[in-house]
Amino acid sequence: MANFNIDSKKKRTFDAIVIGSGISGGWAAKELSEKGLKTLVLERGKEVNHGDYPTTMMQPWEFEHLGQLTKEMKDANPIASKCYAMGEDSSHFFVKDAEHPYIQEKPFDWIRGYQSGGKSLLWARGTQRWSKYDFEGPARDGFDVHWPIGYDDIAPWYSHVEIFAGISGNKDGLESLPDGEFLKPHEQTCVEKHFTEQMRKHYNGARPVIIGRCAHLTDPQPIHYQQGRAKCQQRDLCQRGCPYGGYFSSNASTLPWAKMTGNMTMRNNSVVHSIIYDEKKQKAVGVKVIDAITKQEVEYFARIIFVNGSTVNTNIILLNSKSSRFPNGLSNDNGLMGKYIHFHNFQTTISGEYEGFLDKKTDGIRPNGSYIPRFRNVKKQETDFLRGYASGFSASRTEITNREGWGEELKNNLFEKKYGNWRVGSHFMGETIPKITNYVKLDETLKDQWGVPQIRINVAMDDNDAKMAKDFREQLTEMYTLAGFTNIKANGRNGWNPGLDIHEMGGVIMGKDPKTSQLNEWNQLHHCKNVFVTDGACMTSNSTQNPSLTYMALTARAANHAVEEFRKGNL
Amino acid sequence: MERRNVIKSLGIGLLGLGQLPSWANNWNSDSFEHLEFENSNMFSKIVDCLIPETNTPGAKSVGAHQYVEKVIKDCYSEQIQSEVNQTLESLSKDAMAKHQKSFEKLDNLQAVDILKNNTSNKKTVEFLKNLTIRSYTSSEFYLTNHKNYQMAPAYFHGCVEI
Repeated sequence: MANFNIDSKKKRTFDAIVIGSGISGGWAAKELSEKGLKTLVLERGKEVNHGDYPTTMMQPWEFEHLGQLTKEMKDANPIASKCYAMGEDSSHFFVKDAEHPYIQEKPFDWIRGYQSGGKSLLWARGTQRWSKYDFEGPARDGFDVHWPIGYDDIAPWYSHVEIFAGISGNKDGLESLPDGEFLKPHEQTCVEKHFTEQMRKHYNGARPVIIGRCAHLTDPQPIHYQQGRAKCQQRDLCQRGCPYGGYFSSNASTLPWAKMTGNMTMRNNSVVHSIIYDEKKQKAVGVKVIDAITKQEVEYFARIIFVNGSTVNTNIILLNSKSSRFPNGLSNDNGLMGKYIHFHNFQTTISGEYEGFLDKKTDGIRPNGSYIPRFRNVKKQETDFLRGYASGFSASRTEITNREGWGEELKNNLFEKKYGNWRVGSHFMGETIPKITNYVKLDETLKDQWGVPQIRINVAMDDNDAKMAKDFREQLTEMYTLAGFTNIKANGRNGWNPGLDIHEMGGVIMGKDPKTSQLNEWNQLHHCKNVFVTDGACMTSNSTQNPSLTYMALTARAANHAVEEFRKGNL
Repeated sequence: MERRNVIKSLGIGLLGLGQLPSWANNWNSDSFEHLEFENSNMFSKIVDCLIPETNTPGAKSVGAHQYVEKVIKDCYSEQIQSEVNQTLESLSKDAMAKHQKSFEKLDNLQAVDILKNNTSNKKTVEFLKNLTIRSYTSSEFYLTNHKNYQMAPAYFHGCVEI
C-alpha cells in the first residue's frame, strides 16, 4: 500500500502546474513545456480540442432560430446572455448562470468560458501594446499602488508573443501606442480614411485614428504554419471557434504547441480548490483539485505553480488557499488580496452617419475596425478627471432592406439594390482607477457545487468614470461634427454593469512593496515565490488597451524567469 | 430548399468534420424533424401572401413559415405568443366574414388584403411581417442569389465603386 501511494504520488508530480488554459495559461503551458519542464495544465471546463467547433461551418439559414437565443436560454441566463458574443451559434462556450453562482453585492456581470482555451475562443482579439505612459500612470497620478515594471521590461516579451500569436497592424509610429511585430494591416474604409485625415488636420496629429491591431493571421509566417494555422478567411464568425486557426486562441496555438513538446499533460474537468502550502519548506508544493464531474478530490504536486484561472477565479483560488502560516489566503499578509478589482468602462457609445462617398461601398468582410488611441492626459494632466480612454471607430455601408409594401410589391422591394448613408460608430473604453473599495471576497458559508466558497463581488463605477464618459461624448461629438458626420447620437448604455467589459482585473496585483501589493516584478507572490500569477488578477492598473496581449507578454516573461530560477534551484 | 433537408444535410456535413465531443451533440438533425407545427397552415398562408412565389421562390418555398413558427414558439414571451394566437384567430374570423372561407384557403391577394386591413392587431401583423422578412432574407436562396453571400470571402476592400 505504501509503495502504491508513493508510486501514485510520483505520477501526480510534475515540474510545473498551470491552473487554467485560457489566453494566459496557454502561454505559461507553452513556455514552460518548451523549456523542458514537465507541465500539468489543469482546466476546470470541458475538453475542446482545436476543431471541436460544432457550429463553425453552419450557414446562416441552418440556425433554427435565425441566430437568436431562445427565451428559455435567456430566462435561465440573464447575465451570460447580456454578452454580445453569446448567440445561438456560440452559447455552448459560455458558462450558464446557474452553473457557478456568485453574490453581487453590487451589480457585476461575470462572463465566463469554462473549456480548454477558456475565453480565448470568444475574445474580441484587439491587441495593442501599452506605452511607457501607461505603466507610469499610477505613479504620476498618485494611485495607491504603482507598477514595479516599465515598458522597457516588457517590450521584448511583447515582440516574443506577437511573433508567435500573429498580430496584424500598421506601424503608426505613435508614442502613446508603440508599434509591434506586425503582420499586414487590414484596410480602413473610405470614411475611416476620411475621418483619420480630418482628425489629423483639425488636431495637428494629437488625435490619431489608426486601423485596429488584432490577433488575426493576415499574412501567416512559417511559425504559424508550424502551429497548424492558416490565413484568416475573414468570416467574422470568430465566436464559433475558427477551424483555420485564423485568429489566436489557446486551442489553435499555444496548447497544441505545448502538446507537441511531449512535456505537457492536460487534465480537463479539474476545478482547483486551493494551493497546498508546506509550512516546513515554506513554499507551495501542489494543488488540491476537485473533479468537476465525479466531485472527487485529487492532489497534484510541482515546484512551480502558475495561476491563470482568469481574474475572479484566480482570486478565489488564492483566497481559499488557507494554512496556519497564511490564514487569510496564500501570501496574503497585508490583507489586501481581493481588493483593487478594476475594469474598463464601456458605458457609453456614439453613432452617426456620413453622406459623402455615396458612390462607394466596401466589399468582403473585415473582422476588425479602426481605433482611436487615448488622447486625453497622455503626457500630463489636462482634464477634470484622471486618466483617459481609447475608442473604436468604424464606418461601414450596407444595403438597405426596403420593407415597404405587401405581396409582390414587398418582394420586389426586398430585391432592390439600394445603399443608405455610411454609418459610423465608436465605443468607449475608459481606464478606471483601482480602488481598495472595489473588492471580491469569499462568502463565509455559501459554496459552489465543487465545494469551493462562492465569491462576493463589490465593484462600482465612480465620479471619475462618469466625468470621463461625459468627456468621451463631448469630444467624440466634436470630432464627428468636424468630420462632417450627421445624425450624431451619444448614449449611455442601459443595463451595462462592470464585468460586461470582460476586462475585469486586479485583486492580486503587482507592486514593489509587499505591504501594498501581492506580486513582485516577476509576478511571484511576495511571500510564496514559487507561485506566479500572470492573468488579469496581476494587473496594477488597466490603462486603455485591450488587456490580453499584456497578459500574454507578462506570462511569457514570468515563465522564462521561472525556468531560470528553477534551473538555479531557487524554486 | 425544405428546412428539414437543410438540417439533414448539415448533419452529414458535421459528421464529415470528424468526431465531435459529446457536449456538441445538441447540434444534430433531429430537432426540426420531430417538431409539431400547430399553426402550420396559417403561417404558410401568411408568409406566402406576404412574399409570394413568382418566377423566383417565395417565402413559403424557402420554409420561412417554419422558422417563423419556431422562433415565435422558442424565442418570445407568452404575452407575445398569445398576441400572435389572438391575431391568427382574428384573421380567420375576418376571412370567414368576408370570403366565407378559412384564411388558409384564401388566394394570396385576398389573404394580403385581410392582413393589411386587420387594424385591431396592427402591431402583431407588423411583427409577423418583419419576422417573415427576416426569415426570407436569411434563406439560402436570398443570401446566395441576391446578397452574393460568401461565408469565407477571405478579403476585404474598404472602398470600391458601387
